[in-house]
Parts: sequence; C-alpha cells; structure tokens
Amino acid sequence: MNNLFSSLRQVHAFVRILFVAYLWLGAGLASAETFGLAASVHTFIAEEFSGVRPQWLLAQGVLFFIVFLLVLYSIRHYLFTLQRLFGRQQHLHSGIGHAHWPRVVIFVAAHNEEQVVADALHALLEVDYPLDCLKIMPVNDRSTDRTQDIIDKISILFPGRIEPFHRSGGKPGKAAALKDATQIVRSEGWAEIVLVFDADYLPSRALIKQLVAPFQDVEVGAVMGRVVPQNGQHNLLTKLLSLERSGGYQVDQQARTNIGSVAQYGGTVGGLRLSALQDAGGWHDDVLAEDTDITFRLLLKGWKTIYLNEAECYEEVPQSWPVRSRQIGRWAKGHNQAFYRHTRRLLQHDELSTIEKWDGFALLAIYAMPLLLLVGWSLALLLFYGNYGFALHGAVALMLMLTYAAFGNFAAFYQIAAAVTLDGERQSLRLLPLMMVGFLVSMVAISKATLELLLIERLFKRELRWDKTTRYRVNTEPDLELIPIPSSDFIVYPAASPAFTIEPLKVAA
Amino acid sequence: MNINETNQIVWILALLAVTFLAFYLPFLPALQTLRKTNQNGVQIDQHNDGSAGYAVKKAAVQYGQSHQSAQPNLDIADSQSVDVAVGNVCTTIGSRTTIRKAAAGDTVYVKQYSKLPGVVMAHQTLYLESNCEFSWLDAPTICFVHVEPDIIYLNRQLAPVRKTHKMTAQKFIRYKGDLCMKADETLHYDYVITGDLDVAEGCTMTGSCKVYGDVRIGIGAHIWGSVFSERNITMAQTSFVAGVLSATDTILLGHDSVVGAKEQLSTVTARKIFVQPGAVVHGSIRAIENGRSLPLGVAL
Repeated sequence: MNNLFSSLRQVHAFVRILFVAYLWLGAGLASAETFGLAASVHTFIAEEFSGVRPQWLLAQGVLFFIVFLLVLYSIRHYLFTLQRLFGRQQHLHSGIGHAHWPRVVIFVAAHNEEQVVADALHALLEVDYPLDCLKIMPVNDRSTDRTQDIIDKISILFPGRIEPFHRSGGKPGKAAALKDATQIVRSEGWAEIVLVFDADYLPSRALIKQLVAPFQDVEVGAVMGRVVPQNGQHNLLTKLLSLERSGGYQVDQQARTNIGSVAQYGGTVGGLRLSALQDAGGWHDDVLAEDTDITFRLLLKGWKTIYLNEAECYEEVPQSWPVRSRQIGRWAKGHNQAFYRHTRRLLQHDELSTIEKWDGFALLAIYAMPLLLLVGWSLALLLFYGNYGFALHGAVALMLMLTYAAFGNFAAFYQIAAAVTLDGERQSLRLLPLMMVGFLVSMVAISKATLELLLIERLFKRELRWDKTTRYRVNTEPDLELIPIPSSDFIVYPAASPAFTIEPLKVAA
Repeated sequence: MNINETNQIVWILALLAVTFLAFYLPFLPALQTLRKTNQNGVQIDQHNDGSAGYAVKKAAVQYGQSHQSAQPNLDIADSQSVDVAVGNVCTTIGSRTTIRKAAAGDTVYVKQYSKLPGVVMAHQTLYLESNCEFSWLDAPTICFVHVEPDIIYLNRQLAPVRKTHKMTAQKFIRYKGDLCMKADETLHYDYVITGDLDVAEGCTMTGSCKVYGDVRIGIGAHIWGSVFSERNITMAQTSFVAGVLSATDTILLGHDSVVGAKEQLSTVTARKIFVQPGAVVHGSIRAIENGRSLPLGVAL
C-alpha cells in the first residue's frame, strides 16, 4: 500500500512538473510570438522599404508600440499566475469568525428584477450575522415590472429587517440609485458599513461575516468577494464566462492582493466603509462603472481594497451573446471613463507604492487594449498584404492574429489553467481552446464601446446610457408562505447588544 | 509541373496539415466537454455559515458520529488516532492523541503532546495543555494550561472587560515610521503605522491599529480595538487585546495574556501561533500553518 501511495505521489509530482513546464511554454510562446511578429515586421520593413514613405514608418512605429504593450501585459499576467501558484498567499483578513460586528446595511440593487429579486432577499434573510446589526435595503430603481410588489410583500413579513427604498425618479443608473440610498443610510445613522449586491446574486450563509470581517482593519475602505456563475454549465457562453471568472478572481484578483497591488472593488459582492466612501467623495452618478471609479478614488485617498477569495457568491451570467456584448461594452465604457479620469492623479501620487501606481495603471488601461489590438492586427495585415499579396503570408498573419488572441492582452490561458487547477475542476481545462471565441466577441464589443465612448462622450458631450443585463432565471410569483424563518444553528454565540435605536424608515415610495 | 512547383505544393500542404492538427485537435475534447450541460445550475449549501459548529457537524456526519448520538462524557485514551470525537458534556482527549477532523463538547480538555489538525470546538470552555499542536480552536473561552493542576488558573479573576469601542467615523491617523509608546501612556483614535509598533508596559490604546512592521505589546498593556500586522505580533504577559488579533507571519501570546471577552468574542489568526500557558482567548484561534501551545518557561 505504501508503495502504491509512493507511486501516486511520484505521478502527482510529475504532473505538477508537466504543469509548470506547460506554463513556462505558454510564456515562451507568448513572448516568441510577440517578439517574432515584431522582428518579422522589422525585417520586412528593412528589406522592402529602403526608400520608405513616412506613413509606413508611422505604421511600423504604432505596431511596435502595440506589440510592446502586449508583451508587458503578457508578462504581468504570467507573473500573477506564478505568484498565485507558488508565491506566498495573503491571509491577513481571512478566517475571522468572531469579532465586534459593526452595523451593516445591505443594498440589493434592482431594476426590473421580478425574476430574481425574491431569491436574493430569501438568501439574505438566511445569512449568519447578528440580526440587530443588519438591515437589508432593496434599492428598487424605477422598476416598471412587479419588482416593487415582490419586495413589499417580503418586507411586510420581516419588519425592521428589510427597509425597501423605491426610487421613482432621478438620474438613471446604479451609481445614482446607490447615491440616494447611501444618503438615507447616512442621515438615519443606520450603519458603518454598506454591502452591495445585485438582485441576481445568491449569497451563502457565511458571506456577510466574511465580507465584513476585513473592516476590523482600520485601513480597509472596500472589500470584494469572489463571484461564481450559478448557471455556469448552461451553454457554451456560460461555460466560457465561468472559466473567465475563475481566471479573473482566483488568480488575477488574488495575486494582486498578494503582491500589495490594487485589488478591484467589483460593484457587487462587496462592501464599503461609509466613512471611506464619504472621504473619497461618495458615489459619482455620472459614471457607468461606479466600482472601478470608487476603487481608484479610495486608493488615491489612502484606503485599501481587499479581495477575499473564500467569500463566494453566486451570480447569473449572460446566456446569449448579444446580452454578453452589451454587458462587457458597458463595463468597457465605465472602465475607460475611470482610465481617463484617474490615470494622471494615480501616476503623480506621492504616497502610493510603485507597484500600486504601475499595476493600477495597467488595471485602468486594460479595457483600452482590445481597441489597440484591433488596430495592431489591421496594421499587421496592411503591412503584409500591401506589399506581398501572397496567400501564405496572409495565413501566417492570420495565425499570428489567433495566437495573439490566445496569449496576448488578457493572457487567458495561463490564468485560467491555473485557476481551474486551484479550484480542482481540471475537466473544464478542455474548454480552453474555445476561449478564443469568447475573446474575439469581447474584443469587438469592447472596441465598439471604446469608440462609442470616444465619439459620444468626448466629441458630442452626450450622456452615457445604462444598459440593464437580461435575467434568465425562471421564477413565478414568490410563494410567501414558504419563506423560511431563520432557525438557530448548532451553536449560538451571544450577539453584540444593540448600540442604537432603529427608527422607522421615512422614505416615500 | 516541375520539381520546384511540386516542392512548393508539398510545403503548403504540410503547413496546412500542421495548422489543421495544431488548431483542430485541441477542439475535439473541448467540443466533447461542451455537450455536457447542466440546466439546473450549481447546488448551493445554504447551511454552511463558515463556523466551527458547521465544520464539526459536517465531519461528524461524514465519519458516522452524529452529535445527537454522542456520549455524555467522552474520554479518548492516550496515544490514539481518531477522526471525530464529539461528547455531549465533556470530551477529554488523552496525551499524544491525534484528532484528524473534529472534536467537540460543552467542555473539551486536551492533554499535552496532542495533535489537532482538524477543528476543535467547545460550547463553554476549551482547555489545552502545553506542547499541543492545533489548527482551528473555537470556544467562548479557550484556556492554555501547563498541566492539569494548573486548572487553578481557570478560576482566577480575569481583567475586567468592557465592550470594544465603536467603529470610528473618522479616518485613521497614518504614522510614518516606528511608533514607540512610553510606559503608561494612552493613545486614542485608530492608527496605521508604516513601521513597528511598541506598546510599552501599562499603556492603553483606545482604538484599532494596522501595522506594517512588528507589534510588541508590553506587560499589562491594554488595546481596546483590533490589531493587524503585516509581520509579527508579540503579546507580553498580562496584556490584553479586546478585538481581532491578526498577523501575516507569527503571533506569540504570552503568559496570562487575554484576547477578547466572554461577552465579545474575538479571533486570533496568523500563519504561526505560539501560546504560553495561562493565556486565554475568547473566540477562535486559526493557525494557517502551525499552532502550538508552549511549555512553561519557554521565553518569548
């Protein structure tokens, strides 16, 4: 038996070595491809354009710059992967099971969410957190379906625990709705911490304590949990999104936390310290990605954002490509807005560490890369076809383009491979080649959104519009009789006694 | 068709074949995996509240010992190795015994040289003799004792306890460099200290602090808040921290030091945790790599 275990251990060690070799190969290929293209273009230019015209030189320069950026991003993501697999992990804010729990208000952002809002509220009513320190506040932003009825019906059953905020007018968008809701919480003095969930999210019982625990650290201004697709096995798109989320959270976010870089508050499954939010200037309602915006405003004010990998929450990811395109397009617009607003102040900040500045810059610029990549591809094709016109070179150019998609920019392969390994779901590794499909769709959607942002906001000074993500969960009228009342668990510890008096909500519906 | 043309066609065909294999083959398993779909989505364990209680229950069910069927008093003899030990009233774990998954009871007594890689939870008090290794301990009162006669420790009057301070509305004060408090000094507010923090004998802090260097809490010092350190924390004897104590590397709890209060449980968490006899923690202790109760006389 011992021999068998020994053999198994050896096999396991061998597989690990293979895996590491695979990662190194990935990095080698990425660098080779990017440098290879640069070298080939350089040789091509040198040989064929001895009497070169200025526009070709410009094209060459732009292409080199784009290739250089791609190499930097590839290296960045590859280092993240290595750090996550073999580096030292940060656990300063994990494993805190008992503490003086502060008063918390949970915002459930809802706009026409009749299909999902009841599930989210039920799940939040079941969470393990001292009841006298917790309020759930569905932020119903101008819904035109049955969202308001459903919220009201459930809140009647739990007086004092659910305080609905029905918003019938004002500026549209999540940031604007959260801004109004935060004003109420602050004026009523209900909480020190606000947590934000979208209406399609299903928190586990442990989640609230996990998310609130890092706020015991006085420097923490925001906390972000891990988002796991609930419908991740539904179709090709959801499977690909599930892989993408794994890579993004399990490796990218966690590695950034480990190395002391900028972890990103993601706008949901996260929380903010109210005093930090106030210090950073509150919610800005003219942005589409209030999460990225607030992350960098907090950073510039000296607050830290913490990512907690074990704080998992389940979301519904888009099941159709048009919905996905709209979603990522909105993210891209918002992210690029933040890029435009915060880059200069970030790089000029005296108090931030070098890694916070430059990795923060790389994080801000990530949604600008797909457009640059598209420009790079166009230039590469132009340079190849413009002079040779031979099909073989076209094929080579095409292959390079596809390889870029795999290894360039988001370096999907390393991070996802490492993430599914860490998650113990190696079966999903087989889907990796199909990631190219998702990448291409995202690239086009992001490029389109970036162009729209440049044209609409910068040239025509028009206001950006908030696109709501379609929900797929089939939910009939919630059966209010079946709403479970939270029951006592195996062991009940004394909860913190209330340090304040709860006043009834005075908000007009 | 001359030889050159034939060569060129062969090369093109070879390149196409390589391209086809390189790009098509990886898609075969991908397409196979793609066919398996699950329309119901993931099943979420809504009972998992992340507590020690849930971990014990889960282990007890997994290893066939339910909490309800547990004996009132459970004595595990010396030098045993068991998966789960759950007693309804008192659970005693003999010396040099290993509890692999979970142990629980109203009162749990762990004798010296035991190894506890799983979770150990008591509804009331958990006693741990010296030279034990642990990972996750959870109880309203966790007492570290030298050997059994030291039970006298447990009846001593602990320092008077009041509630921890409210989370402050103002921003913390950032202190650049090392902060050394003088003896019997009192500091208010929350601090972020970029260097080391030295809390001298008899000092009092009425706020929480985050320290990027080492933290040394002197004899009899009181901190009415939480302490987070990116390096190590050392609590000298009879010192007291009301809130969470968390360090990236090591925490050393000195003789008679106290963390948390019975009315306000707290957490001690670090990569490595070493505890001297006489220390008391109200709440839970989680050592990521290694936790050990030190014998009497080992200096910090």
